[in-house]
Amino acid sequence: MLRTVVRKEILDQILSPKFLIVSLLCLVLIPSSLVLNYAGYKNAYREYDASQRETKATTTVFRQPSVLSTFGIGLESVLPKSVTFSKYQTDPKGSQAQNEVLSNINGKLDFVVIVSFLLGLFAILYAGSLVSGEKETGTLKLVLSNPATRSSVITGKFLGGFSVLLIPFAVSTVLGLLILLLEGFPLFETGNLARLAALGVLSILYLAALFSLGLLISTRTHRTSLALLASFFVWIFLTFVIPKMSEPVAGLIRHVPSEEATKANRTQLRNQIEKEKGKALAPLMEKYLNAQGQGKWDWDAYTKERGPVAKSFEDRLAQDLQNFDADYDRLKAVRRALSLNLARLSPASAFTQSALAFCRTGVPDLENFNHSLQTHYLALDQVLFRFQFSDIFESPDGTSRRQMGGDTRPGGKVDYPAFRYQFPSFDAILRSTAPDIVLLVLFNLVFFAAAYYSFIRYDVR
Amino acid sequence: MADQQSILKTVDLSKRYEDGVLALDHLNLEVRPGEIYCLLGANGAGKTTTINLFLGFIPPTSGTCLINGVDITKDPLEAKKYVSFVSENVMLYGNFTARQNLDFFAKLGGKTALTKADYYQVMRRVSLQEKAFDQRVKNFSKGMRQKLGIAIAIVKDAPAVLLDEPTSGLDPKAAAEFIEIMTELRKEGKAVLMSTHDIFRAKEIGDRVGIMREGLMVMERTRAELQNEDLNRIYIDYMESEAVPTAAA
Repeated sequence: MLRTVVRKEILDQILSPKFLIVSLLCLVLIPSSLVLNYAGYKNAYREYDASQRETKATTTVFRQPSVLSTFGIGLESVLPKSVTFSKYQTDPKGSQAQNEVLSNINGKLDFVVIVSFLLGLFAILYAGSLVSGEKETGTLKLVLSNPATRSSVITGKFLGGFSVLLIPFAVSTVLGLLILLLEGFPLFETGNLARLAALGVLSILYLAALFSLGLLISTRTHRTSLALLASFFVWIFLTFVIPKMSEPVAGLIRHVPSEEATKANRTQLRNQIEKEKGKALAPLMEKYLNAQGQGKWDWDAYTKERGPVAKSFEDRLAQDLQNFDADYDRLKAVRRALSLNLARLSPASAFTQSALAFCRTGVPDLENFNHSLQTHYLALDQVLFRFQFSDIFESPDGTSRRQMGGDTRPGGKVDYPAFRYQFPSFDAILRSTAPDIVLLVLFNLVFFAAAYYSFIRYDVR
Repeated sequence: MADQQSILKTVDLSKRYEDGVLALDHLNLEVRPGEIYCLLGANGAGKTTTINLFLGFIPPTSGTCLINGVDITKDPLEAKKYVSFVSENVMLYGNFTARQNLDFFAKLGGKTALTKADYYQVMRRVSLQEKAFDQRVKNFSKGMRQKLGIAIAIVKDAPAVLLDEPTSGLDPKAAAEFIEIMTELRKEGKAVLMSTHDIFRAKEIGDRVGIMREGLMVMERTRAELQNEDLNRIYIDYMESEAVPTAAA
């Protein structure tokens, strides 16, 4: 009986005009977005490669773009293209504010956005008319007058209807992949196939969840127009309202100062300690550096004797700045986690977050990249920054200011540490996306169980 | 006929909806093989509720509803094997052809071994035009859809047929063809229960006619009893009386 219902549902949906519309949109949008985004990736990679070869500055590092950004651009545009390090300072180039990640992950037209928005809408609308349409036309009465269990009818509708939705999605994706292969996309390299398979599974889980939700709405309504309207509003709420509201709400619960204000506070903290250090070093400067333009200039003696005096200040400065940065990072991480968790109430957000993680352009990459920068700074500090000094002297009345810098490093070439950004491993991504995957499975179970229960209990009149 | 076992039977069947409306009040009804029973009554009299209860669409508040001796509440799948249904406004699946609709509902009714020729034969029997067999149903007129609906009921070959306002909106020719098909079903020994507003058709084909009002069966007459009576007058009298009369023989 289930097979009869599934076959009927597949045939009925394939013969309907909406199947043609969905197929055309998928066939146009999915392959074209993949081709365009792969071209964008190749440009970004060429830039990265050239910059890395040509740039002499060894305190500047470059971030390799992710080839899987072809499928989901995500935070690719938020993460910096290059970062220049200096003592106490990390200066990212070509990045945007990282405070509000959710606002940045749905911006560009890519595979993840097409699935999340367009196919998500189709899924909920497709299913929205499945039961209500049959109630309205009266065919449901005729179906249920036969010895077919209601469970086989609702399950058959889900399996048949959802299979039909997957046909244009699967065909367009395979077509897009074939074109990408012709363009030289490294599908079979460095675990890309496994990551894309995971992306496919997540897409199916997400679409199935929205399809079940549409089915639930359909079982609760008696008119197709009402079911479609309700489905559309639910989709807007899940896809726009919840993700867009999560960051402001998280910001209200956990306030995080802006990057600009934080930078100003950091500079103030640094200046304060530098000033204290300058005061402590003032006698040495007077003695060796001829502040008033009289006597002998003895830089070597100054450099040698300033060390013990400046050390406590420099240690304190390094420690205070490290604490300051860590505190700010912690605040950002707490707020980010809060906003991401709030957004997870929506299947669209759970899907986007996990899908982008597998594309290596998601939140785990943001955190991983920032962590890599911190590690690299410490490595540079060991070979370079700890030998550099910069002393600032202010006249007692504050009217004049002198700054002197030097390097106490023993002679020879600096052995700069290599920086090669390591993307999170498949296992690490799987661990970080486990809550999203569990949520998507739960959404499926809850929505389908509710639709099933509602249909079983429905009084046909 | 009185000795034959009833195919359709209700025993003290009542239905009160969630909003408190008593749609059916202790209905006792029997339809035997080879008998056409016409249920008359105004809107809200309980005719469609009776059919919905027979089909298990809604649960009864009390009483039992038997199809071929099987309680629809206790074993709905078994009971539904013995009944076909034709609704007031047969819509079917518009994207399917007539044959595809017939095929789907035949399989749903348990007839899995029927051939294309079998479907064509049934469609010819209900006088559906040959050229319509493989046309999409969304282009069908109401009369054509009604014929296909009856073909679906026939192809199931169940001993009982339930019809909810089947002649509503049909043109005279289509209505006459419908009467002919019902007469054939009677000859085949089917038990037919038909709810209708059409007093003249009811008198024409009904072996028994029952009038319902506010959930009660207020009158029941056999064909013989109606021979010398004006059914139209009786119907109006029952509808216009102030108090709801109790069931009369």
